[in-house]
Amino acid sequence: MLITDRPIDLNEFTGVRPPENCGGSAYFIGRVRNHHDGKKVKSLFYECYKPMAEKEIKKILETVISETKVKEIHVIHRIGWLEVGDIAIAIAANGAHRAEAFDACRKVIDRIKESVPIWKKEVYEDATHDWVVCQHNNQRSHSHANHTESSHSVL
Amino acid sequence: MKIEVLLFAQLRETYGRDRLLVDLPTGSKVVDALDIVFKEPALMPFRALPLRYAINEEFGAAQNVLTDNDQLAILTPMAGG
Repeated sequence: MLITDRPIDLNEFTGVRPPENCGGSAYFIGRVRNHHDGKKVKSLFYECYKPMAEKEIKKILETVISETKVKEIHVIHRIGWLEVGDIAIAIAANGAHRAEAFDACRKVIDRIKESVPIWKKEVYEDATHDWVVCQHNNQRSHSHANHTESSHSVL
Repeated sequence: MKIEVLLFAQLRETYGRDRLLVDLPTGSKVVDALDIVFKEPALMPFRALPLRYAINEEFGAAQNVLTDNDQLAILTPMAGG
């Protein structure tokens, strides 16, 4: 499973034993932060184009495995409403050595942010919200910054 | 030909629906579909965003030719992770 609308269980995720030829396992855990650009974040809503998002994640994993020579990579991304502190994404990369495992983790998260059709709406404590644009886009979509949470439609 | 256009995130939220159908002449391109979609007053401001497109769940370009029953997704800047 690559995308889920249920809470990510870290014990379950990290409890999978890597292949015996793997001596290095690197994990990246992304959580909902309580602030962004000086605003207090109350919650996040992740939306995705699921069939395409899953295809793109699979392509990223294949490419990164090929580039880094790790033996395997696992990813799970949560969608729907998340609260501060909730896990949004978990990545595990298992390789023979630590260097490729760290490298693979970073490449996977960077590429997911760049090219997987998943969107994130931050809802702030002042009841405004904003659809976030990651740094690689170097700008923010601000067309709806003054809408209140109650005005949103949710999938 | 009929093209189903999928909307996500701020486009879906603003338009109030997650898809619309557009009718185009055979041989039309993605950009022709966009010209129709962005005539919708609610969606017009979003054309200035750095948009990407997907045709039948694969990234495509504005100059790609569409075929009947294609599914065109308009992708605003993504922010997974």
